[in-house]
Amino acid sequence: MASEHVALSPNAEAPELAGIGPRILAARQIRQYIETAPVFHVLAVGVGVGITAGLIVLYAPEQLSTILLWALAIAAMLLVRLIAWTAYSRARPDDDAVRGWLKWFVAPHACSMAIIGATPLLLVPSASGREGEILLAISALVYVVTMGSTLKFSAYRPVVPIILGPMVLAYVASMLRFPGIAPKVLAFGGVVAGLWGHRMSASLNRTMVQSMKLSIRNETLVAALEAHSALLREQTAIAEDARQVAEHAERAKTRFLAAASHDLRQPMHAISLLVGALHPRSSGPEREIIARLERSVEVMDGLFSAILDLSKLDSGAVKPEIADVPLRAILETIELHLAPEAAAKNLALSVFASRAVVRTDAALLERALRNLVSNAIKYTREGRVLVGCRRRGERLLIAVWDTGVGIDADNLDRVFEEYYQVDKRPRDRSQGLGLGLSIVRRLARLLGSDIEVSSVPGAGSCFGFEVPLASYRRVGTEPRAAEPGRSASLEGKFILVVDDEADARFGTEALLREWGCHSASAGSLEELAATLERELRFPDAVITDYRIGERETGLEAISAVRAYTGENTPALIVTGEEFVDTAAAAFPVVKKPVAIDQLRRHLLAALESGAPETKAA
Amino acid sequence: MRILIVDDHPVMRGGIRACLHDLDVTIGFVEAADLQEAVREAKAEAADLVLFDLALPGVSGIEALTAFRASVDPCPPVVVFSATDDPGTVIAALDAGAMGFIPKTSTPAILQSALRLVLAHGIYVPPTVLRRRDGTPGSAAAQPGLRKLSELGLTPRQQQVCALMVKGRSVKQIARDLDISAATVKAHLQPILRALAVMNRTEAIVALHRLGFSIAD
Repeated sequence: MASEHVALSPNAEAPELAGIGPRILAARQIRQYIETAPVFHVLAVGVGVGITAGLIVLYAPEQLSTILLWALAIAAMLLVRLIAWTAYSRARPDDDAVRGWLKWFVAPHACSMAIIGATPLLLVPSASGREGEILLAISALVYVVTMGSTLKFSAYRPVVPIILGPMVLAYVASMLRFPGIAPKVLAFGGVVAGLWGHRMSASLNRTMVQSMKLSIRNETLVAALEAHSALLREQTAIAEDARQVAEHAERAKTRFLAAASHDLRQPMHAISLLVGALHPRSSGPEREIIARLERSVEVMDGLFSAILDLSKLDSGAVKPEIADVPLRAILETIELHLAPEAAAKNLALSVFASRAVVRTDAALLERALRNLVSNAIKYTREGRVLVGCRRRGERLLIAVWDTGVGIDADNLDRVFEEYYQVDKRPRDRSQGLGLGLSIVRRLARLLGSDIEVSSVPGAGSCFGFEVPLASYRRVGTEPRAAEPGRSASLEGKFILVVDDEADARFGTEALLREWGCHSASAGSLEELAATLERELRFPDAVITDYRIGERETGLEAISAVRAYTGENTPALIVTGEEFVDTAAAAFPVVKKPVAIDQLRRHLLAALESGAPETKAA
Repeated sequence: MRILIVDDHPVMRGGIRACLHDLDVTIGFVEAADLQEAVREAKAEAADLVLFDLALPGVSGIEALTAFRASVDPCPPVVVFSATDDPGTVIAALDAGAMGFIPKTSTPAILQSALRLVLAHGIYVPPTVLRRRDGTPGSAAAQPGLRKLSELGLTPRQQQVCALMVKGRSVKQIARDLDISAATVKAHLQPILRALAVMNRTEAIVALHRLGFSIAD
């Protein structure tokens, strides 16, 4: 039977449920059977027995002593079960022991049921007249008990036949003893009630087992979860410890390097100065020695810088400042600084100018490129080093080619490791520790790219990385900026904007900056005075709104500027009104909404007309 | 000429002294190892130039410079001589009133020429700053000859005011020095600011260096 109700769980069940041990489940079912409302059961049976006894006494008073014996027998069985229950709840047996307790409940239970089943035989002499009615009442009791008990049995199905079997058999046997058709029908009813009870207990059992399995699984999950989270907490603590140790070590390292850079480099810088001082006085072999000294100091300082750079990059202290950067300026700087180094080795350094504007951090990009070019020069004995760019979609590849020693395929990845050098001969130590490429890789990553390398041993190498191109709009505006006649006269001019609308000020200032002007703005005459006081430079021109706030006008603003500077500052009035004060007619008036070209034209005209007066002032 | 060298490393001070002595034997030296000593020495005897290390014990970089300039009045022009050369520090030092910035990390040749430039009333700032500000490559301070401010069409008075500004005097201080109004001082500064297309003192210093101007009278 036990195997049967384990098998009750359908195959489609979740695997966790299938995995629950039958032993644990059975123990739980037994407990359920034992613990289901024992007091309520006693009361129910007690009431049923009492009613039956009362009925029998009423109709067959001569049976009194038998009835008392009958009721006592049932009560004794109930008592046994109550005692067993008390002992059981005091003992709190574990899953293995609980099965041993079962007999103390099943045996009295089966006995009391059998006694109830046998009631007609024991208490009713014959099935005629009133006794027929008594039989009917007893039968009703048997049916009710049969059905009602299934609620209790169903938790643990093996006990169902043990308890129901004797009762139904006793009832049927005792009923068959009576003559006539009615008792036979009632007996049949008893059999049906027994079978029906058995069947009902099966379906109830299924539900109960399912919910038990679920609760077992939940408990298992909760336990597992608790164990897991305890483990997790432990791991987190360990990780946190490790992180703190690592962070501490990193800080210590950075501190050490900072100290080293300060304290060790100071004397080095001093040596550098002293060597510099010696240089012009020396001659002959001394000069050679001093030159070597100079070179050694330079190399040593280079190494310190490289190590410090590396530690700064590793500690995350370097934050890129991304802006639109014209590449040409950077390439020219590189050429300017590294051409002598290349020339000293008889190498041709060609840098192809590019007009591209890229989104990157100018300083970091230059450092990365300088490292690459310097590295290329280092590892090239003859031939050339070439720097160029190539557009790749919305990005630009900046690459450095050389005709140097090259790197074989096995070592291509290793060249980016710290302290790795392709050509490990002792004298190459003087050329560096092999930190250059590992710095470049870090720099490139900071700039959102990865370094690419390709090489043919003996023929040369190419290192490069990509940077995003600046937006096309900006590239598109470049030719206009390059047009000398139009921008030259606005470049570097200081234009003051007076407007009470913040958006208008902001827009005008943005426009002015695009034209290469400096700008400042004020929203009222009071702000204007403060701005003039703050700025070291006097404005070259003023662009003012005609109506400033409730009471002030652009004319007052222009007067205020001229009074402060003592110059005949050119001015431009911008207005949304149709008619302006006749005094404003002295200045160029631009109607809102302002056309950009118109503003620019008027501004240029005003600056030109004002320029001679300014010089005169 | 009298130069105050402020650096906590005796070796470094020795190196600077030797180097400068080599450039000009008539230079007199005063040395200080920390901020207090520097202020004391500067007050005791007026120096023509202060070479100031930003890594002094006890105070952090720019603060030391600000404190020094606030404690000494009139404050001689200060050239920062530092192991750091990132553009942020250079600009901060110029904003705080320094007249120039020489990175100790420069090669001996550049150190020499930077010092020579400073002795000749020229201005030196590291190339990193030049590039960042206007996108053109920085010169390596190897100008064969320095240009005079008069080349920009400045009057002697305008040159004088400009030189004072570059040396780190504020508009109010210059007005007091020359006994003129602050507005007049500003008016004198306009031609140079406009000629250089700059807005403030720091930008002016960077531009003057790039164009190779000397602020000597």
